[in-house]
Amino acid sequence: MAEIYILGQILSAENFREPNLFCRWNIQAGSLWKFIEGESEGQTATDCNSIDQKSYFAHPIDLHLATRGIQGWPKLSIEVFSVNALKQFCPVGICFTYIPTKPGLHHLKIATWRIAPQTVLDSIREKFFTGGFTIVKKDLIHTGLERYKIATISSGIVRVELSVFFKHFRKYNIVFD
Amino acid sequence: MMKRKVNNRYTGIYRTSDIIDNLHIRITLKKLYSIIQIPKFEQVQLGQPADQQTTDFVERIELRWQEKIFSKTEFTYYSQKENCKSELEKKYHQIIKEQKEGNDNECGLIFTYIDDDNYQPNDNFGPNELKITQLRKNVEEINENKIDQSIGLFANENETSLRYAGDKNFIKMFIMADLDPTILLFTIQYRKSDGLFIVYPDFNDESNCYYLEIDQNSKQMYTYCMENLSTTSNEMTQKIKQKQKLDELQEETCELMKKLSFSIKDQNFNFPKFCRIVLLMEIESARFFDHDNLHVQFKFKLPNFVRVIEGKVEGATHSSYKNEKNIWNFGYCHCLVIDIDDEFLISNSEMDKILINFDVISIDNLWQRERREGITSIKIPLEETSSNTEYNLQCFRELQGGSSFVDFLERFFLGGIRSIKYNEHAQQGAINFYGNSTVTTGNLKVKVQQIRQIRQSYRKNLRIQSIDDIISSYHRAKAKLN
Repeated sequence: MAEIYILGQILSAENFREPNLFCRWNIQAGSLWKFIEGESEGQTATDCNSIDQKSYFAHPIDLHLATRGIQGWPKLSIEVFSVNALKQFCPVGICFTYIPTKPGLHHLKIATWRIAPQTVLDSIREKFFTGGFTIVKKDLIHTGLERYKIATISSGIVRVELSVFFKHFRKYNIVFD
Repeated sequence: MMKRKVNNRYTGIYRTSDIIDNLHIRITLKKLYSIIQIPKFEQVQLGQPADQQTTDFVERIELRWQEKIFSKTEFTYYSQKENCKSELEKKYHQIIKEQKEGNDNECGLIFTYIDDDNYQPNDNFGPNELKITQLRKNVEEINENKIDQSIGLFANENETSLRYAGDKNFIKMFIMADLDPTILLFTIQYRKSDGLFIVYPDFNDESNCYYLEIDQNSKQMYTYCMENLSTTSNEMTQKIKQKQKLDELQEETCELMKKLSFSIKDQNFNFPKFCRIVLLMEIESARFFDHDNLHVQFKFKLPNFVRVIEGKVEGATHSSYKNEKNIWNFGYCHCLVIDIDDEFLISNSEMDKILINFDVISIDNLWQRERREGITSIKIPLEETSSNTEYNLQCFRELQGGSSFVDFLERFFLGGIRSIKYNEHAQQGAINFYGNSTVTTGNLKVKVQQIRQIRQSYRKNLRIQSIDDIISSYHRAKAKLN
């Protein structure tokens, strides 16, 4: 079995209008993959610093995966939440990115988006009551040919730093470069 | 009338921290026919019959603690179900039944009484003539030399042994000889509370046997001994502990191995028949487009010899409204798995590239009219993995009506008219295919990563270059067949 070691951290979230941000992250992979060690999902602390619209997390990611095929390459999914004064939180950004396919250190800048309110009433509700909307059926954001029917608003970016190590891939004739 | 000649026999008193179940002894009972082998034979009988057996009868048996061996009488008695009324008797009956089923019907001279049998020997435990003897000296030697005394001699005094004789806390075991009459060979007692282990007579070996002379109708000479086969010290316990540790380690290793592999069947890595390529495309963001509420439609155009294994060749991102920095974020991931026969690849050929066409479309919020904001495309070479993974694609669109003003009016009132098929605009050799004007619009940021798994017999070097190569390879193949 070929193996991948993913070490890194979620550095920061930038250009978000909302203060008090935290991230929930998870790594998804196909059926050929197996998580050997480490947490495949987690949550950062809430950063209250809103100077320059930057929130720093420095949240570690340390994962060991094994695979018997190259299909279903692992994907990092991050949801950014904002916490209000009443300690209620709502999603303000969703993003995905593939784990880099080349070994070494990678600085990823992941663009995020959030679900847009469909009506004026929804906008008011979002602004003053509930906060951002989320998707009940999470699989919709991963697949779907008619995905353009999901209306989103562009949010900020999340900076992630990942070091990726590959083991036994060459043994199985897998070429990266 | 019975006369027994008893040699010097001593009680061995030991204290052991080991568990008594580890006790392992070997009893040897030997009948002597030849006087020569009796060093202290006092009553030599002259004129022995000529047919007297000269070979000694020997019976050896290895025993564990509280192991029941039946005598002939017991075997016959407990074989009858009618005789067995108590639980113990029933248990013995069952054991004998099983022995009979296993064709083990033989009863030797040696048999045992265990604690459950409640056997009471006629004489008190230990002979009266017990003395402080060599064994005590051995104790002193052991103490002086600081030898491991897990099973060590503790004391050997007559009073001591007698004191222990009536103690009910002792678990007893008697080793008997089924002679005429029945003889008690060894008595073993063990007290669990303090690990006191008393054996009478003490352990010995065949070189130093105890002698037994039975003088009934005829004189019979026997020698017997009890050898301690138990592993001394805490070796057994250590072995058990080591085994437990080994078992634990083995379990842990098995668990780790299970984690590393799904199952024995699944351990095989997938080796495709052809070269397999996984294309990971991410549409990251767009900027500088005219209208809001954008989404991107894309379509892969694959060479004919490419087979799609997984994923769709076309798709669309979600609709996105721009943020304060006039950037449309998509963060859309798309995966396509394809198989290619790499023998058909020709270096630097346009045929060996995957074309991805992008069509950026905006949707009017009021009338839900679609407008084309831009089209663009990239070509991904199949032959080699490109070092460049990030593409900043410049988009363009057709100028409707041939002028900017008409184009503005048409787009404002009617929406966009997609006169160019976005999957055809980048066809090979098509220079201004529709003969119309175009205008540059925004940028599309795309990232495409490739992972290739070449087949095991990668025949890159054998790639067909010319007709001569084909003919020569044909002849080689034909020669091999012949």
